[in-house]
Amino acid sequence: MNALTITTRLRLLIAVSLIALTLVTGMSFISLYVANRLIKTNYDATAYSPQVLTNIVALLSQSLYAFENLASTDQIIQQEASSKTQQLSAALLNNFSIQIEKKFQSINSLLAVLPKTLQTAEEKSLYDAIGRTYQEVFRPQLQVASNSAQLLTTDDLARRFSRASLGLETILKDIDSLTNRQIAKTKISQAQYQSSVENYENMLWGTLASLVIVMVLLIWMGIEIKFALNKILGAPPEEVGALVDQLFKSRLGTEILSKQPFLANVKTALTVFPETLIRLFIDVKQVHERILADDLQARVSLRAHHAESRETLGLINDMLDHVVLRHVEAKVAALNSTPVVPAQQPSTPTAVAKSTVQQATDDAIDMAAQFAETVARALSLSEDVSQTVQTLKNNHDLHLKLNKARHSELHYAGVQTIALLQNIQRLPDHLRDGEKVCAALISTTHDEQKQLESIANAIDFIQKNTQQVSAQLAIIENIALQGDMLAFNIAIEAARIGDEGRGISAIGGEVRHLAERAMAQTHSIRALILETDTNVITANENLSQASKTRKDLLSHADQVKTLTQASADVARASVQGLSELAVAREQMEGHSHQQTLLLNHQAEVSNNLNQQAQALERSLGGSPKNQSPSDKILPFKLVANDDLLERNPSVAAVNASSLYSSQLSEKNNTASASKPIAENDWSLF
Amino acid sequence: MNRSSQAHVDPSTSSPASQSIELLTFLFNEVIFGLDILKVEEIHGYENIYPLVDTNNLINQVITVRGNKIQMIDLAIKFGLVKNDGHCPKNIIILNAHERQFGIEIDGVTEVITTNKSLINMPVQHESAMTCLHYSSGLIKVDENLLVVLDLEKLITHDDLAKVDGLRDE
Repeated sequence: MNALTITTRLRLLIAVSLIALTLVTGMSFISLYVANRLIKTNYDATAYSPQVLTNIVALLSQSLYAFENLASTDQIIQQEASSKTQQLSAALLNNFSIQIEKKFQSINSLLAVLPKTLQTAEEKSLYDAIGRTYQEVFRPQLQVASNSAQLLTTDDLARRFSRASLGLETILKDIDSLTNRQIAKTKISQAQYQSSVENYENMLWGTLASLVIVMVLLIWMGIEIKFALNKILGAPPEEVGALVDQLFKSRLGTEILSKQPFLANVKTALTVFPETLIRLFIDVKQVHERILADDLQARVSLRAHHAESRETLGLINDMLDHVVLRHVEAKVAALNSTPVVPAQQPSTPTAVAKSTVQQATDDAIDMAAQFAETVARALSLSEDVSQTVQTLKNNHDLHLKLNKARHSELHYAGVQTIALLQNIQRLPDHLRDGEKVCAALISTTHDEQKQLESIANAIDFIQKNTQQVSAQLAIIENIALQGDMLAFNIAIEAARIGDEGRGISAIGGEVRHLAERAMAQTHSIRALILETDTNVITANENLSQASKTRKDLLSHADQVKTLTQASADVARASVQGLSELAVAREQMEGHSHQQTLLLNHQAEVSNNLNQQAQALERSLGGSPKNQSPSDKILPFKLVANDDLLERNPSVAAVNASSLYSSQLSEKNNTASASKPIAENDWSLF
Repeated sequence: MNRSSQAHVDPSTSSPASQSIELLTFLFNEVIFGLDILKVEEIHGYENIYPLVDTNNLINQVITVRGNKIQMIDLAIKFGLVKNDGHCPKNIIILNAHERQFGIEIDGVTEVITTNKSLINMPVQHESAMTCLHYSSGLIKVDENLLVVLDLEKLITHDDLAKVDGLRDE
């Protein structure tokens, strides 16, 4: 199967490579052909353009010649002006102009053809310039000439023609330069063509050579493949299989192996996350599961022990039955044989009976030994049970302790939380008090501010008043001065009157005295006012300072108020959060309490188990190892003896086993009772 | 302060030894001047004063008293003092000289004293003396103060009057 696939693969590979090679070759051929065509057209075009240009040049030179002719004709006309008529000259001109027009039309057509083969913008612009010169300069001149040949003087005509010829000459010059350039370009393109043709040939030869090489290679490869196929097909299947195996081992195997660590990495990466999650859950679960498992294991082992104990007891019962039967048989035989034959004769029935008894006793002894062994086993089992129960108990104790610690921690946390909660609950009240105090402060400050403002108003009023008083004082001063002056004037008048004016002089003196007093008074008042003024200014300054302080206080109080409100909000939020926390804590406490209860219950159960184990131990007999088998049998013997005479011999066994059975049933009950609890515990968890 | 004069006697006729005189004392440029009270028309407050332009320096202000325009003689110019800007005159004394009224601005009237003409002493004149002494009839000592008694005939000369009249004519 694998060998076939390889051959098909090889075949496919060969076919594909062949097709690809054919395609490549065809493409190269096509491209070469296209390139050749392109080069050829280019060459043709470049070869054509000089021809066109030479044509143009020829035409232009012809036209120039015509112009020269025209000029000469014009000169002739000038010379023979008298003899020739103007009409003739006009006709001539017309003729010439028509000719020139025709020539230029051909030039124009050529020019129209030419730009197609032109490539550079410079050349194009040159051609355009020529065309424009022809269109704008030459033709209008010509038309004007032809239209107004009759009106124009020969001089005029000559001037016009000479100008036209000048224009024509410039055109010719341009065309010449263009032609030269074109010719140079053509040469270059020719050289390029030559080189491209050479290249083309080279390429063709190269392609052919490569094709040949490819063909040879293909043939060689085909031969090789054929050989290989022959080898493969000729080889035995085992060898082929081995080869295939080797191939797979070498290629695919390594690939797979190389990808394996990567895959493993991916796998681990994929598994790590859920694993961590699972581990987290498992860690939690294990703690509880361990308790349950321990419990369960203990219970299972207990049950197994009990089953074994029961079995053992059954065996003991059987043995006891057997022993009793043998005993009875022996007794019956003894009773039967005693009246007939004395005990000393072994051959007699008594002897037979004796031997039977002996045998029975031996059997009983064996059984007793077996019984002792079984009892010992039961005891060891019971010890195991008690040990397991002890472990269980220890585990429970440990868990209980841990649970208690957690409980106490939770309780402490709860107390702390409650205290914090209370504090925080009280906080808004405090904050409200602070807010109230702040508001009171603000209102008081506002009042104070108002008072201060009123004081400031009062002070302003005082200041104004003092100013008014000062102004009035100035008037009084003025009046006093005037009084003084009046006194002097009175004195002057009195002096003028002479001796009779002495009285008036005295009055003048009095008036002056009054004026001086008034002046002194005003001075003292002014001093007082000045003092008051300075005091008022100081007061005003103090007042403004106080007002500023109040304003600061108010702004501070506002800030405090906003802060208080913000803290009240925060406190409310924290109260909510803490109450939630308290609820969560209470829930946790409840859980832990439930757990404690469960653990206590389990402890009780384990205690019960322990007690039962002890009871089992007790019931199996304090020390069966110390007793000899024969001693052990004796009480049973006696009991059996008494019982057999009165009742069914199996009663004793029933009695003996009834204790165990009752205990067992009790145990089973407790086990069945404890199991649902364990399940409940898990579900609670 | 005001001492009553014993008798009003014409100064030109009575003997100088026994003649009593009443002087109005005033302060100008920190110097106390005395002026015969009979030459004083009245004392006026420093008001209703109008500065004149394009006049000679001696008379550069006019005061109106009850509708009359009275020319003011600048004592500072007369005494050759430099006027400081902070100087503020308090009163105007209206004088009577050459049958005409003139005003002088002063720093303040101090008192009216009655004294004897014989007490007025003319000190020895020399070049370095105060300029105001050129226009005075002498010095007199009153209560530890030495006051300059101005002579109006010297203060306002006829030349001055001519100048003023020329001004007026123009």
